[in-house]
Parts: sequence; C-alpha cells; structure tokens
Amino acid sequence: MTTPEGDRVELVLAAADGSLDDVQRRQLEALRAVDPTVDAEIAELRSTLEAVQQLDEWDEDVMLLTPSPAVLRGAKEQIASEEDATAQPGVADEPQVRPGDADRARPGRRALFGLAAAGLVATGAVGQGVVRRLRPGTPEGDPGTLGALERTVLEDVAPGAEIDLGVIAHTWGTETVWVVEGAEPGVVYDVVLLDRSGGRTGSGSFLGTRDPLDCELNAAILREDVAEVLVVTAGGQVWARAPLPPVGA
Amino acid sequence: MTTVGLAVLDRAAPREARPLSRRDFDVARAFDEHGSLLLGLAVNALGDRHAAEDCVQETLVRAWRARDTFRADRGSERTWLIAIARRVIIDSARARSRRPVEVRAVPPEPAPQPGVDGQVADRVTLLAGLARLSPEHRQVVVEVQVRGMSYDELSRRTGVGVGTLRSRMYYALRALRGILTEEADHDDA
Repeated sequence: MTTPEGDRVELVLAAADGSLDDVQRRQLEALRAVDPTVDAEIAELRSTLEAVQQLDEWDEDVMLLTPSPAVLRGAKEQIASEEDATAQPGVADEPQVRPGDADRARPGRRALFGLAAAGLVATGAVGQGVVRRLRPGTPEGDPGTLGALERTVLEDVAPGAEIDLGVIAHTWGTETVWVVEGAEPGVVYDVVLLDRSGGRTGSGSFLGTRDPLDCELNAAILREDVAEVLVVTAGGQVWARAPLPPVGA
Repeated sequence: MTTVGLAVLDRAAPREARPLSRRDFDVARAFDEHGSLLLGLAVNALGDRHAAEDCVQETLVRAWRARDTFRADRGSERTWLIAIARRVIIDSARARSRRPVEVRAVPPEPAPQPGVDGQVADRVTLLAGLARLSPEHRQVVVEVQVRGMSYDELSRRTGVGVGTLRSRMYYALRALRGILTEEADHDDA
C-alpha cells in the first residue's frame, strides 16, 4: 500500500498535534505497517510543536523595520579601523564610537592600535590589604566562591603604577575591586576580562586620577570563565595584567 | 568603553590577525539586503530597538571578521548571517539577564540557577528559526501555535484553504526541526 504524499503529510501533522479522527487513526496504522519511519517523524514534529508553543509572541511588523543608517556607519567604521590596524600596526587613528552612543565618546580619546605589553614590569606582589580594607564586610574565599573576595596577583603593571585587585564571583558575573595609583590623570583605562578561549568581556572604564583611586567594576561573565583581567590604555597597550587561577584548581 | 576596549583586543589578538586578501564581504550590501531581517529578529528576541540595532551592527562586524567561513555551497548568506545574529543576540540576552545589581552578599549568594542560559539560548534559537522561514510558513506557525488561532479562523482571515495552511504548517515544522538540529550540532561542535 502507498499513501499519497498529501495524505501522509496530513496524517503525520494530525498525529503530532493530536487532531487525528477515527478514520485517520486507521490510516495511520496502515501507514505504520509500510513506513516504519513515521513514528519517529511524528515524535520530532510533536517536540518541535511543543517548543514553538512555549514562545510568548512573535511580532511580524518589526520584520519590516529598517535599521538606522548609523548601524551601517558604525559597522563600517569598526571594520575600517580593524583593517587599518591590521595593515599598519602602531599608527594612530580616530576614535571608534558606536552609533547612537555619543555618551561613550570621550573628547581627545584616541583609537586603540596594536595591543602591546611593552613597558610592563612584573610585580608578583600586591598590597591586598588595601583591597581588603575596601570591602571589609566581604569574606575572603577561594576562586569562584560566590560573594567572596578572591585575592589576585598582578603579574605585570606599567612602570610607576601600583595596582591592587580583588575579584568577587557573583551569580550574574564577575566583580573586580580596584585600588589604582599612578594612572595618568584624565586618561581613560578600559578593563577587559578574557576567557580561556580568548573571548573578551568589557567591564567598564575609569579615568586616571592624581590621587589613588578605588572603584568596583562589573562584567557579565562568570568567574569560572575568566582567565585574565586586563587594564588597557587608550593607546592600545596593556597597562596591567592579572592572570586568574581556574576555579576549583 | 566596551566597544573600544574590545576593538583593541580584536585588532591585537594574533589569532584574529588575518590577511586582507580574504573573500570580500560587502557590509553595505549585506545591510541593505538583510538588515531588516536581522533587526526584526533581534527586536523580537530582545524587545528593545536600541539593543537590537547594536546586535545588527555587531552581527555585521562579526560577519566581516568571519567572512572566510562563509561557504555558499552550505547555505545562503542570509542563513549564515542569521546564525551569526543568533549568537550575538544570545550573548546580548544573557548579558541583559545578568545585569549587575548592587549586591553585598554576606553570607555568599545562592548558587546560580542551572539552565537559565540554556533557556535564553533555546528561545533565541527558536526565534532565529522562525526568522529563516518564509513569511507564509511563519504566519501559520505563529498564528496557530503561538497565538492559538484555529486553522478555520486563519483560513477566513487569509483566504487560504485549511488544507494548504496545514500543509504549510507541516513543512514549516519540518524546516524548524532541521534548523534547531543544525544549531544544536553547531553549538556542540
């Protein structure tokens, strides 16, 4: 016996969405006898149906929206900047600003080229007591302990700078607690967390100050995924680097 | 900070250094041809036009970076861009779901709820799958399965016969099934 394709489609769909009538049930039984794949297909369709039914909404109207020209402009600027950086490492360029995010632009800030670690000095020692005093109510703990302050060791910092860094694992991400001395006043420093595959998660910025500064920054990456904390200057250099041990190591 | 800081690392990371002679990716053409689709998907997923536009921009930039990976014999540029957008949107949705709050937890916070990230990814993957369907196939899935409309009602509204609508539903679900499997395989790879 063969079942016309249209009939098979209807039988499979009706079986998947539970709308089989008695006649169709008998037809499906007959189909099973000659097509052992039909039950697997019904199961697949049923699970797909159940997944789709979990969706709260789909707005077809927004499929007709046109992105702002600033989106294309921003993408082009970012691509051009990256192309330039690859072609001419070390040459300064204009700053990159995402469209519509004027608040992210900073006057006088130069774009960043050729991330380099030149000039860093190994420290291997930190004054964790300073960070400790910043968060006296926070217990210390092993790497990855939720809500606990983890001591870190900065392996490299720029000459003349002194940095203390603590790390706190949260359910929502990773917090870094900083005491920084020797940052150039008014200069922007970006904090970036690297994961073990080289992925990057931004964690905000701070401006250098004449006096020692303290700040706390958040990043949407779990501590267990963080391999390294970097401070990057607007000149594109790694200003400080703190490798973190694996959680549970 | 995030864009600039990450751009620094993107440009500097040796593993991402690539020659300029690779396959060209015309970002303007991709924007013109697929921008609305990508934006619509992102708005549906995030419910935030501004965040969605950020995702479209990020998708175009990531596509340019990954232009060597595009294989026309494996699928259309549209499908490739949706796959990239899916990952961008998942990242964005996860970041939004973990938006930092003032927490000074002593004793330590409760452990993270397992599976939340997976739920976010599953939802975005489903939406990306819907975006890849034709408008006609998407319509029948959305109206009947998401909004609960009957085939008879949809037939009255559209003038399309119930049999045709049910056939569209079957093929739409088959296509969705294939897309979800494909994405799951990709995530596992």
